[in-house]
Amino acid sequence: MTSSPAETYIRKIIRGWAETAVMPYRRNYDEDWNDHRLIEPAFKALMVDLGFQKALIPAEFGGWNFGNTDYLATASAWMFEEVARADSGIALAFGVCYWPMVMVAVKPHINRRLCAEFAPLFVDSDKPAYGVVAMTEPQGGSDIENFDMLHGRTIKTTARRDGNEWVINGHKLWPTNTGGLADLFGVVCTTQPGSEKEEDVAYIYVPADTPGVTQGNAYEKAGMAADKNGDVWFDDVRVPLRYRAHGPGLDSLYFKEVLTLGMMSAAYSIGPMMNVYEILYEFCSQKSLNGKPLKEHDAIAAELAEIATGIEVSRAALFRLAMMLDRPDRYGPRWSPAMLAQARLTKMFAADRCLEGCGKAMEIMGTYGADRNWDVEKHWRDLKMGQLYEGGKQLAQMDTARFFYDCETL
Amino acid sequence: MKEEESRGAPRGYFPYPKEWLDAESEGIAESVKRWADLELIGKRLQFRENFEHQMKSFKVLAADMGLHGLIWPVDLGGTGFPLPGASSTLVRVYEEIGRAEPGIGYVSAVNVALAAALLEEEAADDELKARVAPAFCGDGDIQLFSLVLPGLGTAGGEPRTILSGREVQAVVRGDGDGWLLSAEGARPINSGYNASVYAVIASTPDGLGIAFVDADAEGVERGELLKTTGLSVSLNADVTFNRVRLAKNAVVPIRSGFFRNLSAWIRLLAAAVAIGSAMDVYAIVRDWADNRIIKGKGLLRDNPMDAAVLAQVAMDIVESRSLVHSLARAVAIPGGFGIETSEDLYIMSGILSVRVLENCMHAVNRAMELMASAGYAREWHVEKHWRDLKTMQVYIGGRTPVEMEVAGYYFGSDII
Repeated sequence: MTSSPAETYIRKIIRGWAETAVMPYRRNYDEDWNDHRLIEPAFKALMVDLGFQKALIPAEFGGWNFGNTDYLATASAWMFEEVARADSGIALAFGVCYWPMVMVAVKPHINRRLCAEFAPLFVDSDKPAYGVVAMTEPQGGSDIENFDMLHGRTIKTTARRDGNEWVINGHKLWPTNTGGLADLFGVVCTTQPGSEKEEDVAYIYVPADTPGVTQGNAYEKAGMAADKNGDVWFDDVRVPLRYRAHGPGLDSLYFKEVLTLGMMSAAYSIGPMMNVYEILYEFCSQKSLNGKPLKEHDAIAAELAEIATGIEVSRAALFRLAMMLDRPDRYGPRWSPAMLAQARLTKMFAADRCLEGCGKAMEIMGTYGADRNWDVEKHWRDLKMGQLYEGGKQLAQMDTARFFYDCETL
Repeated sequence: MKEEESRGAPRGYFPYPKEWLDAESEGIAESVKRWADLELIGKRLQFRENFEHQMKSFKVLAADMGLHGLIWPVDLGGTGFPLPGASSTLVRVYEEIGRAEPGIGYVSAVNVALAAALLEEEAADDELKARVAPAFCGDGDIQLFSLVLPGLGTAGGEPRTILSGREVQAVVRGDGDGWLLSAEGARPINSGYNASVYAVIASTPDGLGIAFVDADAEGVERGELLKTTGLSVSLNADVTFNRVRLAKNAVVPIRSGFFRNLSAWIRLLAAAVAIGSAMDVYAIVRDWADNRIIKGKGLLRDNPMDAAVLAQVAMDIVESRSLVHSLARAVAIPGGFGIETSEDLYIMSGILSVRVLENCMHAVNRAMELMASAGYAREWHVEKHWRDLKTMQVYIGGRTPVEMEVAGYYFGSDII
């Protein structure tokens, strides 16, 4: 693929950061899952020192304006892929920092009042600003992401209007950038529990230091140490009415766009596989079987070809998706079922192929494949998580089938 | 069979050929099951992957309960379960261990496989067996053997002896009335960091041998502890043997049949561990599916799409169990399944172990999909089985080398 000057420039910056701030240290990230003593400086270097946490914010509020351009998705793909090449946990945390602001900082639905209020957190700070989309709840797993079927019916977190304030109560699980990190929540909640009317779904911003917000401890996971997740409780949390992103009907509409853009997480699978390819190239050139370099064995070469194919086709699918998302004039709005299906299938395909390719790489490497010193096993653990989060494979299958086959009861 | 009303499978019902196990064998398996439940499964949330607890439990199993002495002759301190007939018993036992802790299962399997291959090896004399037996049959601290098998070589490096396509990692040369063992950064398949003895397949002036090297012998240099994906009980490290001096009887000449036989035992027992691991994941995901409400109204198990995934978990286990018990029977009755030579057994064990490990990985992967984030959360323990299984899969060898060997065996392909 050819690169634009902007892409070349941004990739070069991120690669320089990755080579110096992440890759020499990432083998010790697993033990750093709770403290982030190693991870936090690397994240700060990316977000603050290099300024990437400004990327989405409109220029008039001091950001890089990506949300107000025709290349938001494509630029996200470059950035996410390149960061994930070094560490997909950092890439996920990075992407999710933007995620809650998609509701108000992306054209054509920029909410200037809320941008003015929250942009300083991202553009005028000497520490990383951890954004969070608080979505998943204990009782239903990915039900909330299953929006086109359930229309918010199972949401238990409530927003009750009281004078000039929203009063929020509920319990969320698993949001990225929690476990004590969060600075700003975008809370998916309902104004009418049990309602299937999409206008009753509300998306309300809650600064993490608001009284009544409690973040639980981080969960210990198979990988992705940089992605901290925990419980979050909202107990009679009061925020101004203006913190609701857009209002009845529009919150749910643009939340679908949040879900769709979230599927750019396909890049979090492809980036690591680009690194696995680099490692595998070196390994299969250096190591031998029956006296011949591994890559010169036809049977192993066939496996290597499968791995390369998985990366290339996944990448092509990702950039195709990005192109479609960046051209709503041609392909329809990003919140449409068509775009959600395209995004779901792309993420599902990339996550499956990359995980499968990484598993093959480990097998080719034998005992070295399970050895952290070669970094492949770390990517494998992270890739599995990438396959499972955001509703996982089954929800992606249902959203895809629903669109392509006009299914009515899934 | 007469037609009956469907009763549904009892929880955890994965049939295996019970007529191939006698009451004593079932009793042993039941004891190991109790050990698994009490020592490990019941204490998971408390101890997670705590190495001290794992080794304490391992000692109870291997030494106090006598698993590692099971196949050794009574006159050498063992229980005297005869080989190769003990294979079905061992498979049942290793299934139970795998259910609780695949790492213990794997390390134990490698050690018991070494013992089985040695006991069956004609070139291993009684003196050697008597010397090795106390490590398996004692009731004190566990004495672990770390196995250094042929593996990958370095492209462009010094030519090495090839055994079944793999490069022999160590060389033994004569030195007066003894031997000198040399290897640079050899990669064991288990316990390289904390073993008491290394069992190293090496090239010798006369062909091949297996060298037994005390871990504290002069010239043995252990590398740093490797951090591995799973099998945390198997503390591993690369090992350099820097002209380690060995007594004459510390190196036993072996035939290629020894390596094949040893590999077959490792594959058989590791596959049994894998099945146990998948069975425990079944139990966990069954609880999940029994209690998880989706779409605000129905149980996850009653959703047709999710039920299809659950079915695959069960199908993988049923198929795998059938394959492994058949392999155990083939080992138990030489010639009984038409498997006459060590090559026949080696190929069959390769085919079946690859299939079983892949099946079990598939089962666990699918279970994780249904559990989503809980699938990769450490507290649910499924991800540990997944890491352990993958590690075991790459440690005993993946699909491609086996495919090369199978092509050679069935089609005469000259590729490895």
